[in-house]
Amino acid sequence: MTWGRRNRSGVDSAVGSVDQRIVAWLTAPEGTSANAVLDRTFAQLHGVRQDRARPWSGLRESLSRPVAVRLPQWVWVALVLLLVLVLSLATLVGVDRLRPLFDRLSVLPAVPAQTSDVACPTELGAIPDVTCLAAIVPVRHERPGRTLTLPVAEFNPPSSGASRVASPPILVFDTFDPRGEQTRVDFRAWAETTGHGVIAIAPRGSARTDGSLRCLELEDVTRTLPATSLADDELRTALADAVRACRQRLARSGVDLEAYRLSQAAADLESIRAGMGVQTWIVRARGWDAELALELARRYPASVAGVVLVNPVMAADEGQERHAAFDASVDELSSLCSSDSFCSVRYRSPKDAVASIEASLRAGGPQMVRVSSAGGGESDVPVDVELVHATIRDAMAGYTSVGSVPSQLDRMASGVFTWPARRLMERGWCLGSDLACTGQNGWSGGGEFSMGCGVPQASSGATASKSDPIGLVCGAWLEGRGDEPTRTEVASDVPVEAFVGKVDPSTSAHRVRSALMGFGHATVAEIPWVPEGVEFACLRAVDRGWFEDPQEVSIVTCPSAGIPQFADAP
Amino acid sequence: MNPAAALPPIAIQWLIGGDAALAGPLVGGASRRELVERARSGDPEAFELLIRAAGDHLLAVARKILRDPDAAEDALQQAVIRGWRSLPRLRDPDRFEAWLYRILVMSCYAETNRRRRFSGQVRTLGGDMTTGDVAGQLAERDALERAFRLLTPAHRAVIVLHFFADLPLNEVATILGTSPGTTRSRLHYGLRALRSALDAHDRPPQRTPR
Repeated sequence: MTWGRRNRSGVDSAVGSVDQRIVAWLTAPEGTSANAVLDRTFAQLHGVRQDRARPWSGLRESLSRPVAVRLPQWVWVALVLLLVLVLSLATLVGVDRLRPLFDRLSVLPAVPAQTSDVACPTELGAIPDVTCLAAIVPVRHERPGRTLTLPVAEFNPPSSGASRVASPPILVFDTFDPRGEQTRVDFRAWAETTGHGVIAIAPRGSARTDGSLRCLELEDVTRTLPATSLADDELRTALADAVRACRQRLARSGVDLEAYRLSQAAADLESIRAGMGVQTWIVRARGWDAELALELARRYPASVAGVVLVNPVMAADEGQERHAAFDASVDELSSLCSSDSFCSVRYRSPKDAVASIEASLRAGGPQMVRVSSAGGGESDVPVDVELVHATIRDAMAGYTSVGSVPSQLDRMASGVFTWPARRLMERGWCLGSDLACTGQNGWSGGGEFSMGCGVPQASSGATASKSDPIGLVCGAWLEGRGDEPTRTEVASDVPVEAFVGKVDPSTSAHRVRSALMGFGHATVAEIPWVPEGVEFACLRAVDRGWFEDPQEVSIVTCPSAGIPQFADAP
Repeated sequence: MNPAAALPPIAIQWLIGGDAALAGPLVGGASRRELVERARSGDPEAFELLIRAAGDHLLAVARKILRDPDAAEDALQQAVIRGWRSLPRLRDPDRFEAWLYRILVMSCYAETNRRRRFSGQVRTLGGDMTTGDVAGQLAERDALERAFRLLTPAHRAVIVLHFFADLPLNEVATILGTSPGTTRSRLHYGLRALRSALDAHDRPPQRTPR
């Protein structure tokens, strides 16, 4: 290239017909000198610094050059048609799939909640230094209008002069079931031993919240039907019908069931935090509450100093995984049993016992066994493989002593079944031990279904296992609505520590790790038995260390509490 | 001191001499590529040598595009300053001319936008006006001038770079950052407008019926 005109014959072939007069006008010399303006310019240029060359400067330069793609016209037409087709299909098919993508970007606005002091319920009245509040939050945080009232209890540390900034309070979820008095005594003990305040909040949908979604229809089924297995078609039909009837009644009465989501519940907590003037808090959750705790940490990370999960129950990915978790837990239990002198003599290997019972049930079909009901009396229950698994799962889930599992196996093998069948039945429509129905921990049926069934894959086991209680109730609850995932997969740097029971099939470490994928500072501690397998005081020490500085991974060696205590089995 | 003033005429000729001169004889022992490289690494004298050699031509291009001497000078000034600042980002020294043209055209665009509110109808008459039908030539140029001013700066830039700077259309497209098809289209529509203006000028005036 040259500056100025080159000596070319003919101006340009592309414009050969252009009037020469135009060309002459265009190419007429300007006859001006740039010296004056350049003198001024270079006088200014002193002191002007050059931009630094960046590594991407070359890339930007090359990207700014146009690229001519020469393709036949029909190829362009085909490409445009293909693009239109793809966009149409994406619009038709992909909207639901795209929704979670946008969901992860959205955070519901959380306006500070109005809180007012209220008189504490009787069971809390005896505990010192407790303040009870009623927090008013909108039903839909994105469209404030109708409101819900959630009970809040604040357990203040003895020296409550410490600022909340210096020692963030511990947030726990509590349905305030009157029977859970001991739990609240524990909260008080935490406040004393850790110096952190404890704030207990009832999530929306639980029984004591104003806007509770109690399912009377389910309670009727509990009262009228005899204790039996979930494999029984009559019971399954009755349960599913009761769940549907409850949902329809609530919907007809104007309850906004779609608002009972983890995202809205997390916004409730954030709103209450702001309303109480708390800067950050540490969330401690057990069982199914873990889903809510993680939702809070994902959506409002700036407000969460850390998360402690004890025995977290995360939604299973699929029925297959539940079975795999069950098998792994039985293996672990067998290993514990074989190393225990009493267990290895008294009981056979739990793994062999399960295999033996499964084989006999599969060969001969369900067998009737005599069970003792919680309300007293005995009845015959058809026992199938699923019920055996459910019984063992329940026994291993951290609420009974280790020794009861093999003893249950012994009894089942001999046709005697002492497990309280009614409790087992109740678990049939409760999503977990912590989010139990009204008969358990103060959760209302509808509230539990709306919150729990919204968790991804919570209902996917509906077809995998005939006796799967979660699949049964969630399948009926979500009927006609579709399962809308509420777990948001967002990267978060909120520190999380999870204690997972090794032999607990509900809290498999694999599943918990999977749920914690987005958390950059997560530690999963596998404990033989939570909390019985480790001295409780030691777990408290781990908790305390975590509360002091969630950024630090607590390394505490806890002495064994002498597990497995097979000799103590009934 | 004006560095170009110290240059012998042959050196000036070399500086504006084009591609063949890139590897040719040197000014003070430096080829044009070397001057660009020195300027890129922060040597203001090398940069001034390069700009002085092309200054008149660049100013003429700016005047052709903007049709306003003051605006053209401002555009050139801005282009020189922007060129100096961003020179380290120039990867290929052989593309210096195209790169500088691009900066100049962008400065012309910016100047057009800046002066849009205040644009005065300033006519510039170039060429030898001493022979022939001066009145007719003036009227013809006036028609072309008016038609040219109605074009967008992007259309004007294509026409000026192609006809006045004598650059091939592909090169013009590269400088302007447009596709060759777009460049060709702009040239076509720009020339059509100018032709229409000339046609209207050539047509005998129609009498208004009484």
